[in-house]
Amino acid sequence: MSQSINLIPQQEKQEQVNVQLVEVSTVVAIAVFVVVGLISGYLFYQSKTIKDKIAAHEVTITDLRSQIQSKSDIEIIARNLSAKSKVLSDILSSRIYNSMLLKEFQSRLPASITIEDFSLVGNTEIDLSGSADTYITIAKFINLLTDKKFIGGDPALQNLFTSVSLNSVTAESAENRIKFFIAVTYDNKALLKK
Amino acid sequence: MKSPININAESIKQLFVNFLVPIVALGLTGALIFFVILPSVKALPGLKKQLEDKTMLEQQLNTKVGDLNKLVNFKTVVDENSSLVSNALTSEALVPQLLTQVDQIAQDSGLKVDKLSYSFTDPSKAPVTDAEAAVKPAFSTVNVNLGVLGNVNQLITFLSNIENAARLVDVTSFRYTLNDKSDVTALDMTIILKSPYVFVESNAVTDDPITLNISDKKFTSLMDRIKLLKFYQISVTKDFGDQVQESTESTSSVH
Repeated sequence: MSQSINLIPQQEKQEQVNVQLVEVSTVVAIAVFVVVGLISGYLFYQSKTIKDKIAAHEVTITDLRSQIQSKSDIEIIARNLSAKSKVLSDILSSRIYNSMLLKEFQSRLPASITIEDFSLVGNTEIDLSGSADTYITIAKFINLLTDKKFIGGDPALQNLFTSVSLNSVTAESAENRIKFFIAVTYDNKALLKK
Repeated sequence: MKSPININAESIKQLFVNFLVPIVALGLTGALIFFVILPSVKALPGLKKQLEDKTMLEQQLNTKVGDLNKLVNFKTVVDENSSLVSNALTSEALVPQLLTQVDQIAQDSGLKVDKLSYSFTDPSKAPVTDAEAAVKPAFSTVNVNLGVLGNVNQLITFLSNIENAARLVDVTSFRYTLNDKSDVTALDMTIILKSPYVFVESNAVTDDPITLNISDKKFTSLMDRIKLLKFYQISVTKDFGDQVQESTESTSSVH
């Protein structure tokens, strides 16, 4: 078994270690510096690029704003029109067409019935008082109002009248007529126009 | 007196000379970290946000310029639409014109006008709670109380004509009763009408987008609908008619 004998003096060894340490630390420090430098450069470039883009956008924005300001007259007209048309659209979309209600009611009214008082109560009810020849006529009238297959009226309004309540019936012997009072409820959504 | 701490200045100097490059490199690295990296890392999110905002604003303004150019190119259409909308929804109450329109429609429908009065509903005068504010209408109304004589068919015609009039008038309610004094077909009618009006005063707000799109299907169908309405050209000098009793004015608030 061979043995190596290190004849380098202790001081020389220490010198070599020092040199190695200096070399390693120099390389590591430079490597770190290079890496940090690259990162710094990248971040600096990023910031500068973004700042340049922002500046370019600002120039364009200033130009666009001046273009817009030169058209402020038409902008005001457009804004007024937009606001009014929105209100108008809301009003029209919720508008109840009472002419349709009355027309449909008339189409379902038998000729022998006389309406003496017709009154809208709220948006969904009609209070009616009138007279008829016979009780049968009143019953027929009530049935016609709620008839879902009624042919003589507007097909779109077949379900308009939802319920009829006969509140009172009185025979008037002097006039040979039968007086009645009924309350009719109707679906006002059927009276909207899209 | 000899110092208790034995500092070998020569060896420190030697050490400094030996490690000069790493020290300088680490110093520069520190400087880069403190003066470039940290400020950049802190500033970048803000800059990115700013860039995003500016990009969006530029796009928005570009769109707005495009919209405005389109409106300028179609100015006649815009003016026509604006006029149509103003006819339907007036900026002021214009009560004389409204009463004249109602009176004219009633007479055109064959009804005999017996009474015509009006009142205002001004939402701004009403005591408004939070709940009321949520449902507060965006317009004021003129309420018209109309008393007429006629028959049911004339009433249907009147309602139909009112619904087709260019200035919006809604029928709030109506009632008719048999008139005992007259023949059997004559009915006493009371019709409650309301006509909305709204005053809109817009400003040119440079950065806000234009919400009006004149080629939008919804908008064009609204305009088509308004075009079908009948416009009553009413001069304020026109007489109300001899048969109208008297117009009275009162103001009520919404409760």
